[in-house]
Amino acid sequence: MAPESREFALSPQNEFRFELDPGETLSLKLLTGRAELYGAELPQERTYTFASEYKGAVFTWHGCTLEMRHASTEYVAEETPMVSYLNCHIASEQMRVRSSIARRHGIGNQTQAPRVLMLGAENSGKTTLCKILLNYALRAGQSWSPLIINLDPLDGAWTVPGTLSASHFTSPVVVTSADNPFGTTATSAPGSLSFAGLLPLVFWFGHIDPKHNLDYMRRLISALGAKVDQHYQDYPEFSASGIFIDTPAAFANPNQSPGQSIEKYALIGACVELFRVNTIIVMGNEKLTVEMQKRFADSRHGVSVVKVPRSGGVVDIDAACRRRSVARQLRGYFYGARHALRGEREEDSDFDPEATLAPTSSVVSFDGLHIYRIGEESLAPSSALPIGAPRAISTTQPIVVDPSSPMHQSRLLNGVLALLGPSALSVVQNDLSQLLECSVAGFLVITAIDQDQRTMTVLAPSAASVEGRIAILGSIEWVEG
Amino acid sequence: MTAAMYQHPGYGQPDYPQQRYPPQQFMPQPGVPLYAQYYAYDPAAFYAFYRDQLRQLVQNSRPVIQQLTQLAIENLGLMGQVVTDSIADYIRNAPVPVKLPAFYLLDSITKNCNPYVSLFAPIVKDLFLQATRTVDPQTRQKLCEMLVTWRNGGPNQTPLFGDKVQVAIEREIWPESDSNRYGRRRHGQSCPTQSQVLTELEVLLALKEKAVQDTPYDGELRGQMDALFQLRNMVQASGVTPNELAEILTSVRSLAKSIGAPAAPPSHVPSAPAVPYGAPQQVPFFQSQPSTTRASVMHSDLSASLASLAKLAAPQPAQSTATTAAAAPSAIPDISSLFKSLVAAGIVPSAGSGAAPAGVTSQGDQKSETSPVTDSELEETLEYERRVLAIDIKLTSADLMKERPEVISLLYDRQTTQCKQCGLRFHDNAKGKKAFQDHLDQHFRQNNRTNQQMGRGYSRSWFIEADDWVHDGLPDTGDRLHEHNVSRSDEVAAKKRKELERSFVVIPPGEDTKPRFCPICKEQLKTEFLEDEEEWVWRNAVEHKSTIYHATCRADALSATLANRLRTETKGSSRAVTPEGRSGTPQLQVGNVKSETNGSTAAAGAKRKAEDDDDAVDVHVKVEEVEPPLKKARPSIN
Repeated sequence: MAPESREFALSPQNEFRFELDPGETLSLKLLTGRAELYGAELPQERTYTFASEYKGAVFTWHGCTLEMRHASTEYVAEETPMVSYLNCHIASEQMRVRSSIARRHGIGNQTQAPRVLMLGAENSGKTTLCKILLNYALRAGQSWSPLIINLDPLDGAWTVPGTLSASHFTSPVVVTSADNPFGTTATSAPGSLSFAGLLPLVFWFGHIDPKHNLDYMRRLISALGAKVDQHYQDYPEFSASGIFIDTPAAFANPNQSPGQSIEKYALIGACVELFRVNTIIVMGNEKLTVEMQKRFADSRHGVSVVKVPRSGGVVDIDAACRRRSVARQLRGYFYGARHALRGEREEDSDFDPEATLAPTSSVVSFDGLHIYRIGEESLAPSSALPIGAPRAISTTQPIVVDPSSPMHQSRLLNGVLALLGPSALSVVQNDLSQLLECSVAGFLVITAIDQDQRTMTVLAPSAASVEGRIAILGSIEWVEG
Repeated sequence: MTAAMYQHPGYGQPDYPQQRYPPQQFMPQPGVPLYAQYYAYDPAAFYAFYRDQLRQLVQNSRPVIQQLTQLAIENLGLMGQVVTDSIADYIRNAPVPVKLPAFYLLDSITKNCNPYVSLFAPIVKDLFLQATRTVDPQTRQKLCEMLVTWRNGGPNQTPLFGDKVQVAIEREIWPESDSNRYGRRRHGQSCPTQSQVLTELEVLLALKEKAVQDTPYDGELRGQMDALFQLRNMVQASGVTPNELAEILTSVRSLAKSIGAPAAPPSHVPSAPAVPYGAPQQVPFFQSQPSTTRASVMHSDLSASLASLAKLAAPQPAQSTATTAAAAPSAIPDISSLFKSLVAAGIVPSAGSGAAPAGVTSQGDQKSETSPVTDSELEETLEYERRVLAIDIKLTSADLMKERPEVISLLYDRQTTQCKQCGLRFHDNAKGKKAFQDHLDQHFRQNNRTNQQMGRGYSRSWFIEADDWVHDGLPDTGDRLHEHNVSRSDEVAAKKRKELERSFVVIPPGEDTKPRFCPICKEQLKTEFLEDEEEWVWRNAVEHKSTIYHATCRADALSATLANRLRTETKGSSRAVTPEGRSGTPQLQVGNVKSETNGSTAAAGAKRKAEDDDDAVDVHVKVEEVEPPLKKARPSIN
């Protein structure tokens, strides 16, 4: 019954890498020795089954034997940047320890804790390094609880794409699908392991590419920064654990899109200021390292800028694969996705509570849900406007979307909406422009529009009335399939 | 090995002469702590390492001093001189407030490990005198008190650093009492100064206080202490003649000896470095002074506590006189009778009997509270911190390429218990076992639920509101949603509440006359003058967005929002908008909503919906309008 298995013997500091194509799965078991999956130690004699186009690497400091079933593209690499990554960890661990000692003696100074910004091109391993550093920190047994901030809207992190979000972690993360590299957000299922029950703070950008609207991006970063700041003021005991910030490739490669007023590296500068970054890690880009050192390694910012090598195991993800990943993340948000820590016996059946979530579909009248979008959908470049003429609509102005207008309907159908929290209602009454800074309560998808009845069918993650609430439309669409 | 390996520029010691310690052969030894493997054979590295450790010593902290002492003792063999230099440099360069704890460390090391005495003896005088010249009078007083303990800090009540050193230092500190030698009968003409007598009195009092702690019901000890307090009071009143001062000093010294003898058995300190120095041979001085703040409290409350002590002193004399009569030939003096004679002479007014010595007992209680039993966990943390900080690393691309096997060991070998299900490691101590047990429970619940409750419709929870997230102090979701450890959280809550009640906000200048009201409970904020801060403050107060709240009220309001959120989440429903809560929203319409749920959740969903309306969760938006919850808002979830 069991498919043929192969054993791999890894020497110390080797890495077993594998890449799965759609529909493929791969089972791995640590037989002897010690090994880790992105910084999280693997137990022996436990089978992990990877799926959904997972590109993974099991690394060993000590040497180990692995048993593998269901072959795919796999190989053993002898050169890895893990020494550098481990050293990054110990450097940040020292900052944590110093900060913690300082707090214990009442001479607390938050800036000592590691606040690390990852920069690098697309597919350079930023998220992976974030995860390794996170997992190493959580293995220290010092009750650290680092904050991961995801600023890359392409990478859904623990939720769906198009978001900027932050979440605390308390236990190492092991996932076996490529979709949510940091685990998933909380469900109503009780007693979830912590990385299957994250309680993040989520803001909605609504687009995959940050360059779609850099001004909006900046507003969101400052909103997130303000909340993180407040959070650490209220709970300074967590601040010693530090922050890791994952960024989109657009930060490191600032080709301006036309008509946007933001200067080069402005978003990096905003991050450094707002999150009080004290360390910038650049993934193998010499020029960017030097530019960052020029800008931020001065006495005013006092940021350490360091370059680490890119892993040779990083896989270039193509657009089609990204699209599939986006669709899987959205599906996972509504219907759940299985994750790693399942016993072997459940492997073949499908009753993982987190993997079988039940969303709610309900019919809402056109007036029942207040839908906005941010900024004009396709802005003409400033140069195309009459000389001296100001824009009629700014890039960050909320605009009402009318479901009864046929033009808007085509955008709404299958569109992903971010449902804002209840507090957004008072914001709309007072100052509409503050709508951008409201956090998200969840996501909706409009699955049908009935022009005659003036109703829409809305898919929501769980049963609750969306009547009278506010939602923001982006450019992300999802068709259940 | 190249010379470059001995340079550790990361520790910022440019002026440290590298050639002082020639490189030695690295000889790994089994059973030696890991940090030692890498540092105990390289003097320059160890110097940098120990110096870095010393930086933890920024205030009088007993665990830090103990840890540093232990480290010094462990490395005496090869690194004794390095430790000595490191401490001496630290004392010389330390900012004024740090000098005192640094000396306490020196005191602790030399009293616990005799071979260090010979290392410190040549330099201690200069160190001490230089320090006393720079520090403020209060710290100087503390240093002098320590100096007094050195007098019989050595084996067999001899001076810790030997006669010559002790005399030389004392001569500089108290030049007037030149002829007044420690431990010898004084000569008739000597005139000790007031400050010297006071210093010695303080030391004796500290010793007595310790003794009282050991035998709390010893009435005689109590009596002696009371008398000593009286004496101190008298001397401070500065109406005492030089002759009387001299007499008091003599009594104090012989009394000190009588205490010192039983407290410190005549332990012969071995001089061979091979002998382990685990057990303390002498009580290091810092232990009698757990914190500088306590010491300052003692000073400020002096007059008050003395007043009550004076009252207590009166019923004691009978017993004390009896002791005196019996012990007349011995060295133990009759303090009480001395005191009585002073009273008779009219120097001190006698007082009536009555109140208990509240000051002393409460101080004693505080002290016993400050030494909790969780030492081993703390040790574990300290040990970890030491090992982490001992690693020499700089954030440069080149330095990041170096291999550091000790870091791998930190990740893998330090924690021995491993969860077989997920690979997470735990410590092999009480705390670690508890954490492991909780962790296994979590796995069990997860697996159990997977097996039993298949087919039940769960759904993705809504995200929490930004303000809730900000005030959400508990990132560990699994435990929180369950609340299975209620008793522990009650304890924590009580502790937290006490902390809140202690919190204060300094009243800005000009604001002190206006009454302020807490926006939550509408009651007036209490004002109070804090002696330590020398400021008028609002008690139990906290400032948020330039509004002053009662700290407890605000915490209640915040946890009420959290409780509400938890209640909604646990019911599996959402933070739905409630019609009641939104009465002011004109857009709200009850449209033709019908709910169709997918598959098995239909019934559950409809039921939950009915409950939704009870949850008005918008508390945090306008905290001012919130009624204070009547009871501690902690969700009781079954």
